[in-house]
Amino acid sequence: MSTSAKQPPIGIDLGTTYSCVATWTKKAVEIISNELGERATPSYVSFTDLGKSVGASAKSQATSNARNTIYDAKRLIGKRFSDVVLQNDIKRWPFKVIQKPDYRLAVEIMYKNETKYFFAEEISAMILRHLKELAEAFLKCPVTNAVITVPAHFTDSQRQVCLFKNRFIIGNKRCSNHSRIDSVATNKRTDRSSDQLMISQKVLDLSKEKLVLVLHLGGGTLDVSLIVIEEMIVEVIATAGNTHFGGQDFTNALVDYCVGEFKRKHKLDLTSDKNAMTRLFVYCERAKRTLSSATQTIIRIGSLFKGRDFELSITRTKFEELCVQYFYTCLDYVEQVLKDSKKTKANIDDVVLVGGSTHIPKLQELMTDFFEGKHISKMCTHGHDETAAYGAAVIAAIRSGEKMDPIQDIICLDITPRSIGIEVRGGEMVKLFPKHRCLPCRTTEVFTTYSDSNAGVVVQVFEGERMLTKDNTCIGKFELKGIPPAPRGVPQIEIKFDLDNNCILSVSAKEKRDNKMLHVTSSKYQLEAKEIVQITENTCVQNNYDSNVAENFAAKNNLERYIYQVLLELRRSADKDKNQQHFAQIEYFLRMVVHWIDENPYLEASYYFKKKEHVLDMCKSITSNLPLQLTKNASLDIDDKS
Amino acid sequence: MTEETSQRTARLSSGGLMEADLYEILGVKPDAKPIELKRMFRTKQREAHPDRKKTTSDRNAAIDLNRAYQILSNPITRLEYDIEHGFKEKTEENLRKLYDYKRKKAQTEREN
Repeated sequence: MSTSAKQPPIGIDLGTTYSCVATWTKKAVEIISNELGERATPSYVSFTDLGKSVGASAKSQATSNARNTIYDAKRLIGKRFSDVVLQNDIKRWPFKVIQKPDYRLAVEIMYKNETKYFFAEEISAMILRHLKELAEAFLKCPVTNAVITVPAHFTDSQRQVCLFKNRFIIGNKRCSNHSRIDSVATNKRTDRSSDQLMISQKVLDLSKEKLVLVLHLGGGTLDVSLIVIEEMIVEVIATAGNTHFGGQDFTNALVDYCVGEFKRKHKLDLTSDKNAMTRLFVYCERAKRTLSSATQTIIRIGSLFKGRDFELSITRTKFEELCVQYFYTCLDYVEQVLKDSKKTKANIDDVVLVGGSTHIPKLQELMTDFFEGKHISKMCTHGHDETAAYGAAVIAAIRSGEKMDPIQDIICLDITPRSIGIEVRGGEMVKLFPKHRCLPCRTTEVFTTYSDSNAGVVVQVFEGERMLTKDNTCIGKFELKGIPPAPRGVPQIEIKFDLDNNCILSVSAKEKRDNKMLHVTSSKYQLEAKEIVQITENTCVQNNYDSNVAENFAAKNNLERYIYQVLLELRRSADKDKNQQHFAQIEYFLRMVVHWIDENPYLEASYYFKKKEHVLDMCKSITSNLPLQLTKNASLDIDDKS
Repeated sequence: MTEETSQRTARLSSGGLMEADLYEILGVKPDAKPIELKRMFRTKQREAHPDRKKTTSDRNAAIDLNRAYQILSNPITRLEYDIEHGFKEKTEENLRKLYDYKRKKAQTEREN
């Protein structure tokens, strides 16, 4: 406790397109802005010959380096290559996705003329590391604890991966559902409104039970959850959602439209040009955002493809028409949640919209219409986009035992987003944990063997609502070994299924007759463990690489700075001194060195150091009869650097 | 070693909780009204919630609490539990009530 108390609590919203990090300082949540002062950092990683860059710098060069710029990595996490939805994504992405053994997905990039691959988890890890560094720079202390958000509808394997990958970056952390995160933020907001000012939204009476519907539509995921807030207790009643649905899809619809227009005007298909497509994508994303406030915008891209310019004027109505089926899908999920919880529209006290995509006016309009004009809150107190990070920071604060007045009483009761069950003979799914069960929970089942002297059994765990396991998602398989030989049907194996607060399943088993614990091997988890070592190593290599690059740059900068300083001094003293001959000589020499640097920008640090020594010698020999001031200054500078 | 999933023999039989007194876990009397159950559940949750307490025993407490509340908050499962554990008598009236509940539930499920 004492160690964690010193650490400021950190909440990270790791989004598909943008990520955001927040911390709890004294009495309020503070969003930590990135190096450019933006509060949301793009979830982009790009590789160039100069090294890797993460976040804003990666996104800004995406258009010129599309092949090696990775984004949307979150969509790859925990997915299978054969996934139809994923295949569609792959067609869009400028980077290459490859399949590794054990169905793991990786992205292939060209780095220093070498083909390398990274797992999606590694890409996310790099982003997390970047956010962590931002937080550390802001707080001026190391960060080892964080709460990281995951969409409420992430499957067990997706959560598992998130938790694992994070373990080696930040240490102890916790995946938290968006739904609960949002709800905490919601609760926070109500607090604020009640004790601060009576903002336009109604002041929520916390002693009365309130039913709140939260719609979280971000760049890549949709979560709809219904929560009850009463006496600072936030209880999630039902959730529905789609991990592959969001602002990115709206942008893609716009991109498709633009590609069509381009083809119509110029009879050229630009889909083959990755850089052009990425540029188009970036411009479309910008246009999409503009259309949330303006009713019309122009997409204008100079020499987009084969020297042809692209110009398209697009109205908000047109954009809405392109995406309207997506907006209606949102309402389907809202209805689903209402149906699951057996509530009606009239029961809802408040509707809260969260996430960047809820800026879209049409969506707000549809929601207002759906709820017949009642209480749509748009989370104006802290932007749509930051809510998740905000909530995560609050949860982090609670977890770190922060005894702060407005938060100490908040409790979130979370639920399972889907049913979890096991396969029994005949491929039937038996639900161990029905959908919307309160977390954490546990259940025990007694199994027996199917054939004589069977020493082990395999149990497969599935997730989903369908009757047959083949229609659901397999989230893991585990094997029990060491069952004492017995005729079939005699052993009584008690298996304990444990769902923790992060909705991650763990399994233990024992033989009931002699109370002996059985060895459980879970294919999924073990594979992960092995991989973590590999991933950790890989990222370390990557970091060394980067630190080398940084060193090289530092050496080059050092040399350049020295030269320019000498040149400056020369010019200053040139007027006073009559010995122009020397100056011209040195200047010529230094110009040559500058030229050399320009021609060899990416050399090892040692080359630059050597060159610098050379310059020093040269200068010394020429400047031996120069005014004292110059030589003194120059040599001071050298001592500094070496 | 077969790849085949083992045969399932029993469910719920060894939950361990079915034998325990759920009312005691929640700290309410067996005739408590649903609203009292809810209040008590939330008060107890506040103490046992894993966000606050990190020890295993607290985690177990949270699990037990969730399970107890889950059974008792639903009128069908509560009646079933009551009859099974002698909190309510096994009268014809009670059994009929249970039967009616179950039938209605099955019906709504079919409709959905």
